[in-house]
Amino acid sequence: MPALFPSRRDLLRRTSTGFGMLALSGLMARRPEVARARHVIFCFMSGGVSQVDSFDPKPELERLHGQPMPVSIARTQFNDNGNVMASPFRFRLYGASGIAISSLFPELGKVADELAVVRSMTSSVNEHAQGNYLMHTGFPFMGHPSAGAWANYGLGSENENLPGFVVLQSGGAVAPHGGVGLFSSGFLPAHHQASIVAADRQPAVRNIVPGLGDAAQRRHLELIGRFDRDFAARTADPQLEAAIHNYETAFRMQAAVPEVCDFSGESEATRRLYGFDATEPSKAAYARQCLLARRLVERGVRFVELSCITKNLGAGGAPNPWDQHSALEAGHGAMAFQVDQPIAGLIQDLRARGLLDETLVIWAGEFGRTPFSQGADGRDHNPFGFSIFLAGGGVRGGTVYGRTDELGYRVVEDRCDVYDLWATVLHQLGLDHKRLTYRYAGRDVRLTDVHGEVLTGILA
Amino acid sequence: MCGLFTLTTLLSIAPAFGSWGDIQEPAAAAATAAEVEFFEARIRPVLVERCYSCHNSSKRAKGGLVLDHRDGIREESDTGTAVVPGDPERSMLLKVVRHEIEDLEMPKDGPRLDDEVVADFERWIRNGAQDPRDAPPSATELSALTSWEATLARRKLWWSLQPIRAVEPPPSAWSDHPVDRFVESELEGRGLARAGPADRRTLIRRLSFVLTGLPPTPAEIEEFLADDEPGVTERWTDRLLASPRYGERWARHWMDVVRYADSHGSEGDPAIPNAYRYRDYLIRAFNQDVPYDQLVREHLAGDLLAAPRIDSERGIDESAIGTAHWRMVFHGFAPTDALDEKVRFVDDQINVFGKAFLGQTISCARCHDHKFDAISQKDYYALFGIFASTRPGMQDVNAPAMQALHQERLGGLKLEIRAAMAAAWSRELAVDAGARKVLPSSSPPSLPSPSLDGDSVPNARRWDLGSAAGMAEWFPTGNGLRAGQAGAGAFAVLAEGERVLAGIYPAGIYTHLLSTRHRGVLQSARVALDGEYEVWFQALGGGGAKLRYVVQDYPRGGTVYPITELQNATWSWHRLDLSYWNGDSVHWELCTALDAPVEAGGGERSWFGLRQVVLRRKGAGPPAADPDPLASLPADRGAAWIQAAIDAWARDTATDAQALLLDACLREGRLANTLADLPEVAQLVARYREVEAQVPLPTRVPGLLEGDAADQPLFLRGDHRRPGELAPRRFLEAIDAEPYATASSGRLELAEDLLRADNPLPARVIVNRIWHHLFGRGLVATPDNFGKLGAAPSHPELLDYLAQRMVERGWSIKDLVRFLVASKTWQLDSAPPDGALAADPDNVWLSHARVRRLDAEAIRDALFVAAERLDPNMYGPGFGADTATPRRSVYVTSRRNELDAFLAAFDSPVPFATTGARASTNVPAQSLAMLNGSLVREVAEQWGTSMRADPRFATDRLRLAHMFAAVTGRTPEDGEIQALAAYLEACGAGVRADRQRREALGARLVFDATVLESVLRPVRARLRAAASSAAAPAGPAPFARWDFRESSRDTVGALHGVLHGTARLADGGLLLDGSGHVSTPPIAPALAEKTLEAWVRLADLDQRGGGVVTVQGLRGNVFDSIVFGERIPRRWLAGSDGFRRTEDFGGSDESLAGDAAVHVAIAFDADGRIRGYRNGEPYGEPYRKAALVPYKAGDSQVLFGLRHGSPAPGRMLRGVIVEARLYDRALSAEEIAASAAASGVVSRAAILAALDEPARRQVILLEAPVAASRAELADLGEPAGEDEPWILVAHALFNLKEFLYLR
Repeated sequence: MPALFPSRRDLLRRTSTGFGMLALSGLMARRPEVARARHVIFCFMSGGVSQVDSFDPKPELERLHGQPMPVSIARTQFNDNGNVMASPFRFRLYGASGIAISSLFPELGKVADELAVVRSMTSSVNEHAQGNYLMHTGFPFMGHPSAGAWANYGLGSENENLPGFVVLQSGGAVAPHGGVGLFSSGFLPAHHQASIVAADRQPAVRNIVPGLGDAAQRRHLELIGRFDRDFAARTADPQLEAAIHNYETAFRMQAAVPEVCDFSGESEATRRLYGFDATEPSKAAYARQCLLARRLVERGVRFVELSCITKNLGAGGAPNPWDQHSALEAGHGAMAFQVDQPIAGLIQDLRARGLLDETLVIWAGEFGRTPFSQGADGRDHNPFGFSIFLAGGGVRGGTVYGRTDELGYRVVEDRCDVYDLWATVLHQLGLDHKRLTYRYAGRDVRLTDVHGEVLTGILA
Repeated sequence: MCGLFTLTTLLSIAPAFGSWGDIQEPAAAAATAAEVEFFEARIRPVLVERCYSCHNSSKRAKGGLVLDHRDGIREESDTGTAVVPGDPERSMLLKVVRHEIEDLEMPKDGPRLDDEVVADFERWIRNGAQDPRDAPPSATELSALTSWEATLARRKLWWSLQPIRAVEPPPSAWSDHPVDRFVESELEGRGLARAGPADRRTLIRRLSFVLTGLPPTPAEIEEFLADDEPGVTERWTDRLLASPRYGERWARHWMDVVRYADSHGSEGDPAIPNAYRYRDYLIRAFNQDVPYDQLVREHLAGDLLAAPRIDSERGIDESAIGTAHWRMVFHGFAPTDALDEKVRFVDDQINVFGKAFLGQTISCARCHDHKFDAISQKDYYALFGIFASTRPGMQDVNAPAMQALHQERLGGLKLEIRAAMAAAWSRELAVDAGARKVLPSSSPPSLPSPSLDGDSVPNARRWDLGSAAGMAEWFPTGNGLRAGQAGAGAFAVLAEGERVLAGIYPAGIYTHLLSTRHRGVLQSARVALDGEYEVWFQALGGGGAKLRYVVQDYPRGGTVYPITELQNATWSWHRLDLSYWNGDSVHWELCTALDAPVEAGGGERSWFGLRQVVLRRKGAGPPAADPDPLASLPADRGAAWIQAAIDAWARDTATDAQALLLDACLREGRLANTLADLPEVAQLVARYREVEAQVPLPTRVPGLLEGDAADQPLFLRGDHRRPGELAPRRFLEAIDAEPYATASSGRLELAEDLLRADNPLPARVIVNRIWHHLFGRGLVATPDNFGKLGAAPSHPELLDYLAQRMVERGWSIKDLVRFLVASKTWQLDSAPPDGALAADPDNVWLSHARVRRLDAEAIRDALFVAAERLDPNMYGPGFGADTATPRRSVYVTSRRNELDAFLAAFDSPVPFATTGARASTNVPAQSLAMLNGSLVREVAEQWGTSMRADPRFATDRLRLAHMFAAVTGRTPEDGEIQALAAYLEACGAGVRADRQRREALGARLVFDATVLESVLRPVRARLRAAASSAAAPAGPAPFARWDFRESSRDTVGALHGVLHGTARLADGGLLLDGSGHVSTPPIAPALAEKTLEAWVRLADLDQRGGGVVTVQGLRGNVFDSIVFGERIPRRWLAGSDGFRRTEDFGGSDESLAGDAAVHVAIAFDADGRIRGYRNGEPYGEPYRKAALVPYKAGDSQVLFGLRHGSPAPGRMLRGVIVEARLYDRALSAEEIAASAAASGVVSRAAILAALDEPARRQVILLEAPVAASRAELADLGEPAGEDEPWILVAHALFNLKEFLYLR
């Protein structure tokens, strides 16, 4: 660190805008009891995973396969509705808890006793972009802070040399439909917005690679610092000192980011666990994200979101890889193969390192898929009932929560929505979702809007 | 004492203006009266407003708690005693309002009470909780207190709704300026000192940035300083206000207010076509100082004004453009619940409307009456009805005269053409006079109407666009539809080509009867679908005209929102299935190509015609088609019938059937319709075409179209599935609850209501916005919220003084700006006077000027100004995000899904809601953008390079001083110039050291590599020879093969390569430097499945989009190619036209091809599957995106080094193609592997395996220093040039806080 910068303690003493400062509302929202989780890893299954092909087995579909849906069908996005379609995948009971998981996720089956599967998730919208916004921000349009931003706003940063909210990409993955606004800090202070980190290319973060060699950059910064200190002294304005401090942080980030992205210290066993060197390139790429997520969490990053990589199957394009409006069997098969081992490896690795208790892993898409076919061999969007799972972070593993009808079409028991999910996540982070507010445009806005109940049924 | 009157009287003095600091702490016993007064002013209103509705004696006493009288509030309830007089700590009321008890946070469903209010309660209880409420209010009294009417009456007393008062500025010894006198009075009252005036350098910099968003140049600063005549600041203010840069700056401020965007966001992020014209309109309006009231009118209803502002020079109606902001909403993609989507985007409009013009959060009243402000849920739906009565659409803002230009002349010429053609046809038919006499009875039978028989659904309907009555429920706009319905025999003259008439038509409505340069949007009234229907349109059209149904005004297309392109020049029935939308409200829309509200596409010339629309039960089948007019001609009297039709047509009395008959004759060649066959009309047609070509094209701007207006039912609890009572269209009841008596949307009435003299909000809000931009903080610190949760005005009298002044002076913004910057307050120095930081940390009382970080656009623009590169061109379509295009940032395209990263880092707002006050954050991303980002580096490079050679400066010190002044606005002090000079020198030394280091490394590398190569070469040669002899039979046989080591000839067939540009054979292959390529003659046979294969070395790995080997159609618009780094840097790609067959393989990034040739092959399977290979191994994943393209025999060719078409930047490869092959089939993976192996790609592993142990060790030993030298050279990056020290100085200067912050 160049000596020209004031120390962090000096800075915090002198200014009210220090980096690690916690929002007042964050303090207000803290619950007296101890938080169970400190970090969140959000495996977002963009495009929408079919519940009846993954975590919600429905024998009734096999009985009715090829017959018209016995109940009325709500509007679908493509209006190309076929008959009941049985899952092409076989379900098995896994673990001591006996959670049913389809043949798409054999590796996750091995950690079934860590999972709390929620089969009664719902969404209020039926298209990707709005569904993604709803899932990320609690509101189905751009402008609101993402859950990761809220978590950082509420809890502050543990490592000021790394961003507190990181979105990982690799293998050509892109932001889901809706764009990078999904990862925005909205109206929260800008430093809560996500930094997009590439897990497989340089530079991993925008503008992180210095244009100058080390010595030249120091010389450069010394010159700038000389003028800036004078200017700050002349104006006596605290925001200038904060701005100078930012150069210090930025300087250290230039080293911290490459360090965390360097996998060379990871053992062969660890790499194998994640599928890091898998021959299938998208699986290897996703494994990089999972391993990097662990490295980030180890260094105190609060919230990490992972991005799936498209296999170009059945309408699943780069922003919505799971979107199998056709070729569901091939598409879901390939997508599940991509994420199954890396995520299972991540959960096992976190557990082995004692990090699973304090790290909440979320696996969810923006909606599910219809139990009837779209066209010959696809499924359309279904917001009326779908499955997600949580693991670690104080969640009671081996749990199945909620129920859909016999067809897996609509929730019939313990219906919950994204507000309940985030209420639960914030709760595990030690935050009261009703108190984590930010006054914007005359309203005290929450991640959970005016809704949300903590899903106590899945908590340890 | 507890009557409403007393309460409101007290309240009127209580809010924000009032200061209760002057109430003395009473002695406990004696001061009861004062305490009662305190209760009435500070406690009772809060209890009534926030507590009574749930805790009262009449209806509800939640938790057993009653707060509406003294005994109740002191009684013990379920959870303790609410108020224990004298003992705040034992009073539950205090605990719950402090949110100290979980799940008992009060008031419920609202934010915490303000800290001051809580403190009031504490003081009240501590002082004995004086409470004059002896008895509970009666039910009537209570409902009077808690009813919406009573609540509204109380809330209307809020400061911002009070009339603007005429106030006299207080006297001041310091300044005569009214602003200073108000400010001085507050400072004095608080005992605050004041800073001195800013020095003149600071002042001109501040003035320039604040007024124009740009820094003054060093020359301008000197000019300003040299001017010591009195009034210099005023003169410069005028000069800056007159600069076009002023409008660019202030337009951007307003763009924040209306959340300006160029796209709708969501999936697909489609453009809002021509949104930029609204941005240009704002720039012109601010520059012309269009009065604010006029701007408001134009924003609400500029398209409806009786006397719009016409810019005769541009030929446009400026006023109409103002409505474009309504369209800057977010739209979802193909929502299955269209009404939900509509509620969302109208809510967005209401939200922005309320905040922008009124400083009110009206949107908060969507589900219930506003929690704090004087806005009811009915207000919300009254406004909803106004906006929902319009439709998103495209308007033509050409001035009326422009829209009508040449219409009369064209109409006249058409009559002449008709007469001439009729005469010519008659001559040709030569029906004798006798036969002509009997003609009146000899015409085709009239046409049948489509039957609605069999439609048992009562709502089956038919709209006959050919009858006057049929148009009653349609809303035509656009100059093509201006003439309204056309009678039978209408016709159109073709604008080009050998044919004369486009057609002769029956009665209906048409856009192109005069010109296909005219436009039209035809919309129907809304139709509520109460069953499963289909709709049929009897229409024709071309050039990309569109036909669709519109559900709940959703403007986009996609999945269940189909758009039909009309591509038929003759009549046909178009069917659309509506069964999906059972229960929704729809309307029909036809429009010319570019006039769709979103996703418009097609050419400037398009057209449509419509005769009938039939709505019928789904499955009822098509309405009857027209009979074939020629088939029904009687054999003996056919010519006579035709002649009769000609005569009627010429007299303008043709029937529909006659028009169709003539049209059929034209198409079948029974009547002449070519210039060659009609020499007598050729001249007329030529004149017609000449005039037609001068018809102005529309100037399209997004806007609102009026349709059938209707009041909106309330949605109960905001649920759009639960409509309640109707809310008549009107303004806010706090101003005027009278419903609008209008059949239109009510926008005009709303505009006038906004601006009426008894609505104090618009003037206060705009004055405060201007103050905010000039001073860095508003007199009301929340410029978009003048409600209860907004900030109170710091200087309410000053705010009113300015508001009144602005209205009196004709709402001139420039006048107000000029007035404010002339104040001494605005011109204060920024250094806080002693004690100011402690006493007033936010500088609310304006004891000094505010230090501000430049906003995002100003930073970016200032880079270019400092470097003397700012491009002053104004207006027009925006440019791509994150480029170093040196135009002002106001012109950067705002695409919602890819907002400019540089601007976003510096808090440019996300365009989703009104942002009157931007955040000003300090985040590391900003430092990184300035330090390492490409924009700053690029501008620094340009500036540093030009400065080094700038002849204006004799010495380096003068150069440095100029650069410093360009960035900071001041002359450097001696120490500063020395620091810069020393840095320059150090950088120069660094560059020299770097060069020496490079030279040393280079020399070592050459030496080591030569030694290494001397070991490897013989082994490689041996292996290659062995492989080629062994593999000779194994490799698949190519269709063509080019060995560029030898020549560019095809060694198999005749596809010999021809070198173009700088392409040459050198460096062991075909050497391409980005300006050359090779092409072959046409491929004789047809080519469908195929394999492209090449061995290629790249000049650099960061080049983008160059083609290695391509098969393309001879016109170059269809192609398949091996492309490098086009979509994703460093990736191989199967390139194709428009990426139609292109996906990322997902293969690894190329890392070797810069050093050695790699083998790349792409196989195109018959089923459209595409497989990539690199060095014989699969590259990423195969995929199938579209069908295989078959190239016709003799219609394709091969290219090398050019992706397709003709040479253009971004298509050209730089590198060496060693060899290439084309196969006329898709090779298998094994064949490709064999080919790679046979071709002499000798891997390092193979070489090492072939060496004996000592040689292997030697190679490994030699490889290390070579690799190390290469790595170090790579680390050093591009060698720095002589300009580098100057570039670094420029870069450092851009990073100075003195550059980024304004004092």
